[in-house]
Amino acid sequence: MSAHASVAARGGARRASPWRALHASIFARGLGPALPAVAYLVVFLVVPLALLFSFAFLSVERGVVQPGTFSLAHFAEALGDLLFWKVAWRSFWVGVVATLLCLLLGYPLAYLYTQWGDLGRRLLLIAVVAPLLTSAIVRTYAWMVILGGRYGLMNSLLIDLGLITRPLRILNTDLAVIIGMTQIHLPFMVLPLIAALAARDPDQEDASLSLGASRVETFWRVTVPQSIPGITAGCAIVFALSYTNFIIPQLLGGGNYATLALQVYEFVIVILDWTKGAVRASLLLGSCFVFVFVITWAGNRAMAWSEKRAS
Amino acid sequence: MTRRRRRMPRSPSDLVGGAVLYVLAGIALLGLVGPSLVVIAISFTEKRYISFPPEGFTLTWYRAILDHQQLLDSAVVSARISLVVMVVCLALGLPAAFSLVRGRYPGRSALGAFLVAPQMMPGMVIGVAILFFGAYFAFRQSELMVIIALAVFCLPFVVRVIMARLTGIDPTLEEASSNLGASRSQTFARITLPQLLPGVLAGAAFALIEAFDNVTVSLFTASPRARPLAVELYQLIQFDSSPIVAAISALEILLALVVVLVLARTIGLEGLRD
Amino acid sequence: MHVEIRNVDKTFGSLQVLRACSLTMSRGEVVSLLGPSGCGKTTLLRCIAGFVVPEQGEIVIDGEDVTLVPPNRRRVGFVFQSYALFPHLTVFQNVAYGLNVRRRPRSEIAARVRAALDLVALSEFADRYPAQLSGGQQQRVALARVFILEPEILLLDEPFNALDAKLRGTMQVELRKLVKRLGMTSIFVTHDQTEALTLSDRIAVMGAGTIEQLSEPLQVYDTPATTYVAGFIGSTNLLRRRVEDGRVELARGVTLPAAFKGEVSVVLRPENLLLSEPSAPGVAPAWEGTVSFVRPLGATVEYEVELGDHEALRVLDLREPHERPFAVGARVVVTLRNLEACVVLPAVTGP
Repeated sequence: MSAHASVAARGGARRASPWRALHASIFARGLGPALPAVAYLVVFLVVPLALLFSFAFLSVERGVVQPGTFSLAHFAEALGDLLFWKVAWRSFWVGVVATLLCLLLGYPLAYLYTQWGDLGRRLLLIAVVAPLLTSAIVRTYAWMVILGGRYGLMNSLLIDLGLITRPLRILNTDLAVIIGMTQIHLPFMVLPLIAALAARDPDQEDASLSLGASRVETFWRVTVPQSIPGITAGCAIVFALSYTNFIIPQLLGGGNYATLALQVYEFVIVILDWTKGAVRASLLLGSCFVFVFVITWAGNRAMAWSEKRAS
Repeated sequence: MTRRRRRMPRSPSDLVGGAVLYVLAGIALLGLVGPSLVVIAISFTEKRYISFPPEGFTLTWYRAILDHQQLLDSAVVSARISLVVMVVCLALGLPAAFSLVRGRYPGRSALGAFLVAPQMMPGMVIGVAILFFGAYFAFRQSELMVIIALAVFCLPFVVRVIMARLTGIDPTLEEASSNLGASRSQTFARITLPQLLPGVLAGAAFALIEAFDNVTVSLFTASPRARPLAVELYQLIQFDSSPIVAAISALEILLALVVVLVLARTIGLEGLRD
Repeated sequence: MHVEIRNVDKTFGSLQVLRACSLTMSRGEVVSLLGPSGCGKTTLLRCIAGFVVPEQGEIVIDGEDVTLVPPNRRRVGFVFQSYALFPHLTVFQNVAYGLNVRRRPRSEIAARVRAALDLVALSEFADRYPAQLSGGQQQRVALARVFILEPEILLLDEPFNALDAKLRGTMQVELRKLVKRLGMTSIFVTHDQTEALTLSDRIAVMGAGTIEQLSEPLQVYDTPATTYVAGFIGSTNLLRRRVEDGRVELARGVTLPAAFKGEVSVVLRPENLLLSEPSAPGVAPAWEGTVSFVRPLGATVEYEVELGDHEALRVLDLREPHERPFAVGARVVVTLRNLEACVVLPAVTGP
């Protein structure tokens, strides 16, 4: 590509026309092939998103925008609604808990991946990747079965083992949602962690051990700090997925369970109040970006801090 | 990085640490694999409702799938949609990946971030945005809308996988081909594309599967008359408590397993780590 | 003139890699581009191949200006450092590649591939894949793949880098014999001076984007054009002196004529010096000093001798069997064997 560009630069100086120059610079430098994809996204992502935000400011009747109704009142209404905040809060803390649990369970698994041989690694990757190829519905359904009422797996087992006499009500509670989210999003935490851990320098751990640190100390002082980028990436992904998820809360949380994402679904599809739906969707997307940004920022600060400590 | 560690004497804290590690990892693994096994087990039950442990062994529910016309129809719809989405994503993503890897223009990394951006958004938002977009131009929910929306959602997969494969290709191979007399298109067809093929196949497979399984985007953009399979299942779960859902789920799980094994054999799963 | 490179300039970003590089070669000649990493030698080679287009200057092959001709239409063969064998094709298919691309008939391809594989002694490996071959075998496939197309010019980018030392030596000799037999004009790139001295009819010593000297191997050794070249080929002593009245004083009573004025560097080869005991008879010493390091290399011994005044000399002595070398700390005198072999150069020339 660059040889082509140099030839173009040398030879094209004679026939200089501004269009030719622009054409040459776009296509000789390789921007051309990306244009269809860019155009597609601009038309079918950027514009629709802009439209979505604008719907939050206008009133929409049966899909037709009513002109002249620009107002911030809809946002004010949502932000002033106590229910909105309760729902948003629940989405938030469920997301946080699920993320932390994912980290707690996912890190050891990722760490062991790096300690195992070829066969173990392959089996582990199969176990982690296979669920990703099934629909979220299927995975959530599995948890409905396990956590279900009288005849769910957990209850049957616990009753059979004599540990309880009456079935626990797990389904349709926060706990069920959290458990479901943790397990369903676990692969999204494990994969970036594996990438980060596999990229680390094995000599550093040996160095730490030979300097007298125990395996545990080495783990906390050397391994974990090196994997902070992976931790940050995993947490950002899992949190974003959990915070904006509506399938899991609906199926595992039951009819009265409400999250922000579920609210968007209800307003847009069920109640058909698109303005309210647009407002909440915008708030959902905006807050999601903010949180992901915070997580990434925190991750960078943690890296800087750990590097300072080490030096 | 496979190292056989010799058995060094462990301190008590090391033993406890190791135990904690294994327990947590065990729970994680159990959580990853267990639910699938449970569902598969349930699908064979003779009872008409979900119960554990499943009683009896029958293929009734699998046969019931064949009788359930709506399900079969939605499966066909999903297959159609996912094939078209795969083709669109490849057509857009393959050249884009080339441009991002081989191009030399300012703003290349910003462009890369832009093309990957849909992956950063909740599918639901993409679905709602396109629903509104369509409504604005008086288009209703339809198969086409689902395809358009899913292509946006799945494009990043394809772009990233192909980019990863492309950067791994040795550029001197293409230079050697050129030196031996091949034109640019000959080099592309004989050298670049064969090297790229595993990445293209992986990207295509992921786009296909994600489009087939997707609920979040499809729910908002699908027309109620021609629902994709995942959306159909979503409704079914909420209203029908028979094990037929378990049977379908079991089939999907087994299919996913087969696909993963095939991928593991052909291109190795290592490349999927990001 | 078969190949001419005229005043080639090449810049990558803010780095000027080639500066007014010029070179001419006659048909059948073997030239090596010798220099450290970053001196531009590989870039120059790639200019000849067409992978890089210089901003200024021309590349002329057989009288035709090919500077803007794309690489697939130049009649040059390029052997890469990594060999760049196509991993998804067999050895046969790799070697046949150039012919396939030119759509030659099957029978012709088969015959010519057999001949090429025989030339490099790889006939039994035709159906193997590159990954199944050793480094040396891969290199031979890379050569066959290029030879089969009968290029005008053969370009090789550090072709022996990936081979272990023993194989390297054998392959260097093999390749020079082969290339001479085929009468192919060849250009090698290398950072190894021994390799350059073994393979070349002429050596182009490069530093920081220019060709410092282009001469036959021993000429480069005996009469380096700059202090850079002198330091690059073989080991050497460089003494700084001032010119007075057209002469330079190396040591007491030892002077050389100098055509320059001001500061000069005098090139003094270690084998041109002799160490003896201070009281040895019949020796007209130039310097006195103390041995600071001894390198017993077997047939020769290399000494570092401190002379005081912050000057030190490297001396290379032939050794008789069972002869014990001087010890570290011994006081010795250094004598010059051959005054005419010293080369006077203006000080601090070269990059």
